Amino acid sequence: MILSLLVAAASADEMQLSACEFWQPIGGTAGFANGLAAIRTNAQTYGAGAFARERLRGDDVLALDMHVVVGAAQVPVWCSDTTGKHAQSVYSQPLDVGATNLGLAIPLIQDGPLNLRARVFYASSVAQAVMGARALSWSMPLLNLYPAVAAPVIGRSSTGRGLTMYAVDWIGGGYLASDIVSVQAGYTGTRGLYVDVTQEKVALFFNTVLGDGVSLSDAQYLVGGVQQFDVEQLGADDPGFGLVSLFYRDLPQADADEEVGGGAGLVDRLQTGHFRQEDMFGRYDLRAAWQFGAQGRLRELAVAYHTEGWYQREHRERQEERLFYARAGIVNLPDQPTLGVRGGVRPTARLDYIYDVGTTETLALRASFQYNDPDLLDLYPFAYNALGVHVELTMSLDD
Amino acid sequence: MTRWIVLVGAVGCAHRLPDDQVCLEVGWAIGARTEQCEGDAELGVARVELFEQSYVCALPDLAFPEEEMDLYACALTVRNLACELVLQYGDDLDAWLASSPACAAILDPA
Repeated sequence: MILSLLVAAASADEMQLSACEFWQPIGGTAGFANGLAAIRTNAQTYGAGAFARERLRGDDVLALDMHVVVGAAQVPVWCSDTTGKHAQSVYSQPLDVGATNLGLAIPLIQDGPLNLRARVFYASSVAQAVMGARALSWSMPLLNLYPAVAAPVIGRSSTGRGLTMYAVDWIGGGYLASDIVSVQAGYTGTRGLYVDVTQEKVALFFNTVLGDGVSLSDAQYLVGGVQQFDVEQLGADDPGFGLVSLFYRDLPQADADEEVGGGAGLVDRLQTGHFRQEDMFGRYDLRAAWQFGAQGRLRELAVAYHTEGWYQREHRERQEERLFYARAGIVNLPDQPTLGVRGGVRPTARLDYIYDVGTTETLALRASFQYNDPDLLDLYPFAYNALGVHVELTMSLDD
Repeated sequence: MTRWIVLVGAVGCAHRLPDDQVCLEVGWAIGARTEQCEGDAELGVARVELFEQSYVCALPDLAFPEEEMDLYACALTVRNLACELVLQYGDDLDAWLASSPACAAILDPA
């Protein structure tokens, strides 16, 4: 393995880590607009909120997610070099996006009345865009570990200069869970209020970050509905229905040409409805999503196969140390000329692997490869044909 | 294993653009400005297709390589066209392309 890495590094060195030493992006191109959209999106606010909900509501005390999307945008650039493959020519330079999410939770009450549990949590998100240095793209999630730990000290930061971006955001708050309702709330670095309310028995939930005010119109994003309803939570046997989800999501979309101004009516929200039936007969998933609005359409349709125990259900023990997940389907994007996106159906695929260290579920490592992932395309519509690589580390308290 | 690592590392690598990229960018600039000013993405794509049917790429011989970058001035001008002009020009793509002398240097009627 180490030898392979060294050989790969040596090969990369021979090929040049950077295709061109001195380059400049060309304005007015769709690729340049995509690059601007990639760095201006406030995806990290949604990213931090979704991370807090998905990863910090259970028994986990540490969650670390590292993501890299290579080729999120392709930007035409002029190479001023006098020698080299792209010297004195216009070529397409990939823009890579990376993110590091860190979450920590400290239990305060473990088993109170009505099964009450209380914890304080901290979640941070550091996002970065890199062009022209693929080696840096692969290393940036690890390099951003320190800013992820110290996000409140660094403060909420978002810097876009040219086509480079560095953004930090964080949430600090508390989580109170009981048999009746669970509430997770916190303060975000963007001076907003993060709120997640969930009724665990019927899996009814509502999740948002409120900005300047407390009305729904101030929401930076909204997600609500039923997520992973399990009949076993009501004391019934599951004949194989699995986990059922039906929820609505409203996400902000980046405006690539906001500096140009004068635009009117540009779709700036993505409103979608999602249906999922997961863990059917312990092995199969079905996912579908519908996009609302002027270009309403079936947005996603996919099926997945996974090993038993992939989903951690409350009344079942995970038996396997190694778990696999494979998903394939279609994603259907609308026309978005501003980003140079011609709408249509594209294939989507995802492969995941979990290594649960021991059977005590105290430490788990998850690796994921994603191609045209619908969740990524919801945030970066132009990132089709990009490859996403995710690594997640989870640590929970031993029972 | 090495092959897989190199393959993953090579996804979306830098590559040479097609020769007519500079012309394709003009079409997308028209579509983009239509979407932004008229709030209609489908109309934007319809104008991209109208552009592709109405014009062919006719790239000039360049005295110096760096002049290649100047050819993108057409797309840049169109992408920054004032919304009043976008609404006024509508499907009259000749009017759009008259916004910059760079457009005449790279495009001919089909």
